[in-house]
Amino acid sequence: MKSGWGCKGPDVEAHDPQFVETILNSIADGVFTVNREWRITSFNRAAERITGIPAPDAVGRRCSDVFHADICERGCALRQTMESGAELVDVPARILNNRGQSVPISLSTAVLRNPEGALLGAVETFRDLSTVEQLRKEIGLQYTFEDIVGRSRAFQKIFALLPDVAESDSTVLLEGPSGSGKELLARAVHNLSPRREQPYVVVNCGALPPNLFESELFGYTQGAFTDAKRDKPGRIALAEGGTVFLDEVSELPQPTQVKLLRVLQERQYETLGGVKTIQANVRVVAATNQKLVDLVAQGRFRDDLYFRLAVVRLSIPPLRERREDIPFLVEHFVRRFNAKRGKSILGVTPAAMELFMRYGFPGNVRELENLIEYGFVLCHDRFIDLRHLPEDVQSAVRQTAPTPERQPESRLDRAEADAIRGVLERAGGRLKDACRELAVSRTTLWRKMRRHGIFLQDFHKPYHS
Amino acid sequence: MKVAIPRFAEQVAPCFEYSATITIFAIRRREVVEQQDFRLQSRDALDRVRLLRDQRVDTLICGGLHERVEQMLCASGIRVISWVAGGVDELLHRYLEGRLTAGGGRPGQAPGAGREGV
Repeated sequence: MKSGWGCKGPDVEAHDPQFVETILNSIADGVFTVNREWRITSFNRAAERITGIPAPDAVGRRCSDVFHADICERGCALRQTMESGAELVDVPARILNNRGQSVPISLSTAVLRNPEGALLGAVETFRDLSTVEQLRKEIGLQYTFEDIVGRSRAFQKIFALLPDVAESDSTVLLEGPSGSGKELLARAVHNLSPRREQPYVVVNCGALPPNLFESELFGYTQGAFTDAKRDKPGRIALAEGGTVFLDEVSELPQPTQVKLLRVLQERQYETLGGVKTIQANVRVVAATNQKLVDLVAQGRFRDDLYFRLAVVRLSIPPLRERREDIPFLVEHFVRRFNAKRGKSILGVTPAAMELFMRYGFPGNVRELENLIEYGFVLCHDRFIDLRHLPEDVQSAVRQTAPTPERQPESRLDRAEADAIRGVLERAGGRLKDACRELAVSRTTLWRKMRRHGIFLQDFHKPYHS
Repeated sequence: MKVAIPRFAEQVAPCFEYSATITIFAIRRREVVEQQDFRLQSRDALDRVRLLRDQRVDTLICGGLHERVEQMLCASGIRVISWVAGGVDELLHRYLEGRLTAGGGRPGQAPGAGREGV
């Protein structure tokens, strides 16, 4: 890609443009200059990489039309520098790259003057902080709607509901198979809600022994049972003011279902062994990988609790039913593992992508994530290829590869096949004679024979006959 | 029909999510019959989606736009003409004449390469 550093505006002076260009293109940080009209006069290679915009396309445009930054309107750093002459250092900002993805940056600015001291414009250097932000997200689990990856119809429905779901305080039920991303969606619902500054507490209902469930969820009072030496707050108390996420809610024991119903209906509960009624101020988001309606029909889940939980129902289908999301998920995970592992893998090869598009993904999105992680371990190239992916996945795809379906033969097809067989019979399997009699080329005859499953050796006459 | 344009002075705002003002134009027979400025304090993208939806906006004309917000708007039935640049009046004029193409203000992309749709 040609750098646009040579594409200087008239105001930028450099003693040796080639020399300056080489230096600036070797820097890992983005560097660009603007003139007094805010038009970009130079744009180094790192700036191209971070923004995704080639220098020739950026040079000459207003910087706000290239960076689409959050500070363009409310506190442009370059404007401040040009107006005051003061350098700004390490200013945090967010820009949009050319794919509409938000990129966190840290920027510094300085004025540019000619030897006589007249203002020419300004220079900005900026550092891509995506990796740092990604790692921070991994640690703090601060996922937002930006982290929900999906363009399928199912996700269009979720995106349509999300603004309302986030704003409301209603209970949300997330339905979907294991590994489909229910917890990420639950975190996004919390992080988008007015409760975002308050605690988010996860309770995995399937991982708690039934006899401990009540004490874990509601807490206990000193003396409630033999080992209850002191009061212990439950998860609902810990989530006060925030959100409690009940994963695998179908595993809730029946007695606890009744108590949870009271929390949802009356916002009240008592700790185990306690006599005082406690007011609960929590939003409940629940998830299940089973059809709760079926469990209700079987009498294993209370119908009144189901209706309380399913005020808003969001369904995530299995990955095999939304294959159009796979390329976007692959891109997302590649970006994420690049940040986590400090690698620079660009993506996956077409062959690897085809494998993903044909694989059944019984483990859903989590399995795709694991496959990409596996690829990151083995791949030392720029793209993850088939050889970097597990053999069992490849053989699973081979076994399920669809065999070409034989179309039922039409009368015309049958007539054509009979004609070819008859001619080949008469010609004794000699292709040249058969072609002459049928007035078709050898290629055409071969193609038709293959289509009808006709084999030449069946018509060869023994030389002695 | 209602058309929304986030603005920065007389220009379309560089980024929908960060714009401080959104002007909503009511249009009848290709003429602007009413316009209203909404000053936005919140920087929550979802607040902007809700505003456009609550105001029954049909089309959003904007500069930069986060891909997820664009998905959310489209999922809400709002037509999005994104990644355009220029003056608000000129963009609106081109839109009313059916000459506005998404992506025209997106560097590194051919005009029309921006997303447009519901």
